[in-house]
Amino acid sequence: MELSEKLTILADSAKYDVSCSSSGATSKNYAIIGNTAPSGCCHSFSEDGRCISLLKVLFTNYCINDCKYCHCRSSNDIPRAAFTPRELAELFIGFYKRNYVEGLFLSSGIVKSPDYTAELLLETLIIIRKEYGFAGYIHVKAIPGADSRLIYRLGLLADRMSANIELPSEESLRLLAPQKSREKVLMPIKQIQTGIQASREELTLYKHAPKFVPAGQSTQMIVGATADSDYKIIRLTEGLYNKYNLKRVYFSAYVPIGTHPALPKTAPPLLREHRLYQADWLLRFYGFKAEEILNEDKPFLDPLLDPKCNWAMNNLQLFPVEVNTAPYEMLLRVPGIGVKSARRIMMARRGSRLDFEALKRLGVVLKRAAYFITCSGKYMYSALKMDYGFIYSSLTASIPPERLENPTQFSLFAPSSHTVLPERCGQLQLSHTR
Amino acid sequence: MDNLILTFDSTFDGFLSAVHHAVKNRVRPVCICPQGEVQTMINCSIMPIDTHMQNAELVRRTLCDAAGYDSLKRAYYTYLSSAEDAIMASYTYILYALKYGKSTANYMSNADIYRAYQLEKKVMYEADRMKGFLRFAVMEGGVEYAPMEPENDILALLMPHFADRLKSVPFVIHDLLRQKAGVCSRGSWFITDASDLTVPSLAADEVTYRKLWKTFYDAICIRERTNLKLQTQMMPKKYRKHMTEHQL
Repeated sequence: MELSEKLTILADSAKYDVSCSSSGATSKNYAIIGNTAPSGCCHSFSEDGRCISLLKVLFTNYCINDCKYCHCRSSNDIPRAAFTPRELAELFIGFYKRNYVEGLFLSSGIVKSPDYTAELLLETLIIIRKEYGFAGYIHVKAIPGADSRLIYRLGLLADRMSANIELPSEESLRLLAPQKSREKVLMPIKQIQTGIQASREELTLYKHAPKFVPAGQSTQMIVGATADSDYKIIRLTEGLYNKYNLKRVYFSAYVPIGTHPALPKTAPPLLREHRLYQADWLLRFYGFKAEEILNEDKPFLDPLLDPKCNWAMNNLQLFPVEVNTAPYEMLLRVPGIGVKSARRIMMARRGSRLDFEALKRLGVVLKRAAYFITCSGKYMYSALKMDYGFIYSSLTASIPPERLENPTQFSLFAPSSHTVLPERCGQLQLSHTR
Repeated sequence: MDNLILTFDSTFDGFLSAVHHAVKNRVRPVCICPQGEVQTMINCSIMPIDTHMQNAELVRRTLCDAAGYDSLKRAYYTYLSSAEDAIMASYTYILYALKYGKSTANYMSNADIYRAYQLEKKVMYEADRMKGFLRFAVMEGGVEYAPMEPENDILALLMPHFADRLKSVPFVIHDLLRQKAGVCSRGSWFITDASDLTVPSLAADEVTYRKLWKTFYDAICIRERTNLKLQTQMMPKKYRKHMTEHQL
């Protein structure tokens, strides 16, 4: 088989894996070629608007598992291919040299056995690291079920590892991925975490101790293939950050590729994915708890308002916030003020009192923030009221009417129904690369 | 009194020498600009300033001591911007940084200081983008060549990044708009005039790799999620001219 044909098949199979960032890893070029900048770097953008920073391929798409949501399930009749370790290493270095990619993202279907697959990945990484002297970024999937010593050796060569949590709950797994269980899915995550901790401790004692997965681990789950609520997903995400010290949890809107009767046949729920990422940001950078964002009574995120606005609206007793005196933690909670603008406000207000014009310059989004702040005791507009109905209608006023009036919009986020998203919702999708 | 215009030799050191002259002699030039780009006005006197490394170094050190390394970096990035007022913005910023010292960042409400921040951000952003969007071609003999047409003069910002990354490979980055080239071999680099640069022919396997990259680029897109507006927002069309995936 031609190399380009293989590349088509194996990139096509890998495209549903979300992780693309190389951020969080730093390395100078200690070998022959390659380095990693901590900020990450996007090299191109495909027509779906997602960034391309890594050569994202499967080693092979032959697979012994039959997960219903997966493109490579054994019962699916698709063209199959496999790289050889040397072929892939050469291709990758060729791409890297020309600045097409920032690093390698290597995943694989399970061929023969998990151990056999892991050995093939290991061989590829050894060629890239040792023969080509590559010092840049490599992300490799922990093959579920592979021997722990193989995983360890992979981790010593890679910057980041990930094991997919796949679906948000045990029941969903049983329904769609019968060969996997919560235990089996969490085991490699636990193992990588222990490895990272041990390696960190060793590094404090011995400067040249081997680094195991220095850029941390990430995971991903599919959203919209099952009836799991946003609350459940956010709770799970929070748990993963706290218990397993994950760097990132990725969400991937389910793209209908399966034929199983339990699967929905609709357009991917992109807006829902976007709102979940917003909630994820609140967990990681804004000091929010999952319970503050959602609860049992309201288990789905509002499609019309971002989660931070939503929280603020439900806690109007805390607002308005006086920008010139409020503590940093409170500034972070104001919709329209992000981490950067909050920091800038802290600095700038030492120099002079801030007015709305100055806030705008500092990067505050006044369109949203105006309803929740005062500058020197003054509202931005004299007509402002601290009233739920007033703020809600003002905030949603700029949303085009067809989205407000479309009744199918709301059923989208109810647990059991899967309605087609209007096309323009897709445009709300942002990229989550850095 | 005359309107004073200072001219320098269009290097950053030359610019700093001009700043040194202005500060030391307590004069307030209406304009500092590179030789050859002077726009004369009524009642003006033009004064060419020679580049003195010691003077430039003195300004660097004074600025660092007074307001920190960041402010020197900001003055430099602002200077690199292609905006019309870039050089004057850099000059004004240096004056403010010398006046306010480490607390300059607290005066963001000052329009001149804010302008420097704005320009710095733009230049930094473009350099970051170009680190990803630059495309090298492997030429006969193994030298890598990358053409680009950036808005701002970011060549000097890209060189250290790629010098570290491609330590073992000799390469040339060519700024087609300014006819400058950054040349690097074994990790050390310099910038030179490139008006008479001859580009060697492509290496034998270059076209194969280009095609493979295009293959990958097309395969990685999820058609169900097509969103061209987002793509254009992230990768503006002005950068696509020299990108392999948009040439084939």
